[in-house]
Amino acid sequence: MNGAAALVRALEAEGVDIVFGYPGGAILPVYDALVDSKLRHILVRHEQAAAFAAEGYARATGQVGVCIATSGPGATNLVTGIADAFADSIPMVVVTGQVATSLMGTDAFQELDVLGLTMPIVKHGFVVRHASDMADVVHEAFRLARTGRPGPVLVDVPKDVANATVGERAQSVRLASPPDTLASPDPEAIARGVRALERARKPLLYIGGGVRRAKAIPELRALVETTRMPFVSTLMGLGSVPTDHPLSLGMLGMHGTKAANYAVQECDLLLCACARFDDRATGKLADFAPHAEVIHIDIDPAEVSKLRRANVALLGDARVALRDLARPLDNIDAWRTQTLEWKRQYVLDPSPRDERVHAPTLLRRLSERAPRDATFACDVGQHQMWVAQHVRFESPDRHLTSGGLGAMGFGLPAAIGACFARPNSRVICVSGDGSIMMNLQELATIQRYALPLRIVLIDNRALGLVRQWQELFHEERYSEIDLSDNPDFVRVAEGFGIPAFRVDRADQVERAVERIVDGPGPLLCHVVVDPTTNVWPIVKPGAPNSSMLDDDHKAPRPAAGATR
Amino acid sequence: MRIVIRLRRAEGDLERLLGTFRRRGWQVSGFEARGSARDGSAMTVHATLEGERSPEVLARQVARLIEVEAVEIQEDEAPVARLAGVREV
Repeated sequence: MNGAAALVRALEAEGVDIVFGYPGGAILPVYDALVDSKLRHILVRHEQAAAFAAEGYARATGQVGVCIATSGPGATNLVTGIADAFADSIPMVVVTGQVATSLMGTDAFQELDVLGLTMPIVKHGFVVRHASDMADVVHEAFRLARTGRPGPVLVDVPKDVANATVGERAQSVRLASPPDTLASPDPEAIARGVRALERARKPLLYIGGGVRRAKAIPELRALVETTRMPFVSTLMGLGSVPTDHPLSLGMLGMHGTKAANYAVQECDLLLCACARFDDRATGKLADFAPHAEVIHIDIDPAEVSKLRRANVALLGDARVALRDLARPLDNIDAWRTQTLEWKRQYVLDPSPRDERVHAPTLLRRLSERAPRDATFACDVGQHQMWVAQHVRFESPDRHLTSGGLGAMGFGLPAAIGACFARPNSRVICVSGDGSIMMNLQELATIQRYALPLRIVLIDNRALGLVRQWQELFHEERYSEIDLSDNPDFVRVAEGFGIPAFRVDRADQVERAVERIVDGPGPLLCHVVVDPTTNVWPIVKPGAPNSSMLDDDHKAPRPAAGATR
Repeated sequence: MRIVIRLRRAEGDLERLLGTFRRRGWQVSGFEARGSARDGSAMTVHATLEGERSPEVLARQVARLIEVEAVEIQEDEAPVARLAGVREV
């Protein structure tokens, strides 16, 4: 057995059943070993899609996603997907081929220092220097990827190491890994957190994507029901508690609801559950939750007090922290009533104004008609925000979105990964005409594997979110946002062998939604929308969240009952 | 600000450390790294850094590196933050 076979055997021993990749020179030994393996390899058409598909698979299953590419350009093409996984704490093992060790450092053909290149965007990186280390390195990579705060781990495999014979000792399969121990938060800190909660008159729960990573969804939901505290969510946290829960104020931040942002501004205690005070959520940091004490629950000590000082830090197992903080809260009735009044008063969902298709209305209808376990994978831009605002989520793993990195091109390959993760449930990719062109070649992957993916392509013939910023913040000086010469997407899809149809009038929406939900896949629905439609509300970058703009009032409007 | 780091040797260890300093907004004005185990498996780094951000936050960011075993921040020669043993993140 050689090093490549040892790698493949170690992947099998880790329970991997599917990998996404693209072959090339330096990784050839691994592809040779795959021939004799029970691993299922999915051939994408661009390495970036391999990384995003592995991410989509990992996001949907909670398991470690695996992608494989060759050295040099294969590795560079993975980089955006690796960075995306790092930004959103997605467990992933990335296997790259490398030139032979004797050639490393000589500027050899397709040589690239991928270890150095990826240092800022991986949890850790390895170069396998000896074939006898292969199994150990792979197992350690998986352990690192999934324990603590998850993230991507690189395993770079020089070709001579992949070809080298492995001794019997190194052929042993999975090592007895140390238990994935997780410290419980300091009991004294929990006691201080309880006292702070009991003191508070305006407590607010701020939910991030880390709750799901911590497997703490049941404890979070129990805390909401016990405390009856209103809550807001980040983009990544949506669905941790069903988004239509009566105490949900929606998403906070740049495109958050007014109720969520006003509540953050007014609360006197912010219970941060595994969120990281990202600038898209906080707006101007100095004005974020200005009256609040902060309790911060996180597994990563480096996130606590990084941007906002925590009055109480609860480090470690979020399940324990949430469980121990959950108790009925007296004296918050007036606050809860106020926040729910804001929610009632400022309803998202402006009605369509004319006969053209109104994307938020279509997405809302799609959400109502789709099975409750449907998975929505989106790209990046206006449509991404409309999905976050208008699609109902019962679980965060049904909402696949590029949160931290905001990588256009994510949607289609991530949806492909989700199709393999959930072959028996509906997967819907919502993309835009800018985003879909960044990984359009993956229509070939969908066709090859006959994936029943439904693609809803919201086409405004522009880079919509950039156009919106230029309209609002750059005095309508439009620069390089026009995509009016887009191809005919219906014919493009059909050229890849994927049935497609177009919708360009509001009265066609109901029939289109029916076909998307109930018809066979794969399918592409090309939705032509008004290019001037914007995402509302919006907070100007760098401005406080209280200064949201909306389409009726392009100026700050104080909240009813707000003190500032 | 001075930072003292004990780490297990791993390929790219010092690059990762220096990259973390730079990315997190610190400039290195002094740096010394010496082996601290007979078998060459460990190293101790003493660095002097200039920056405006919280040294304690940097210490936690450095501690997040897999090979780092301990971090100590010193200001005016006196240790102000210690991480004895590093939580796995």
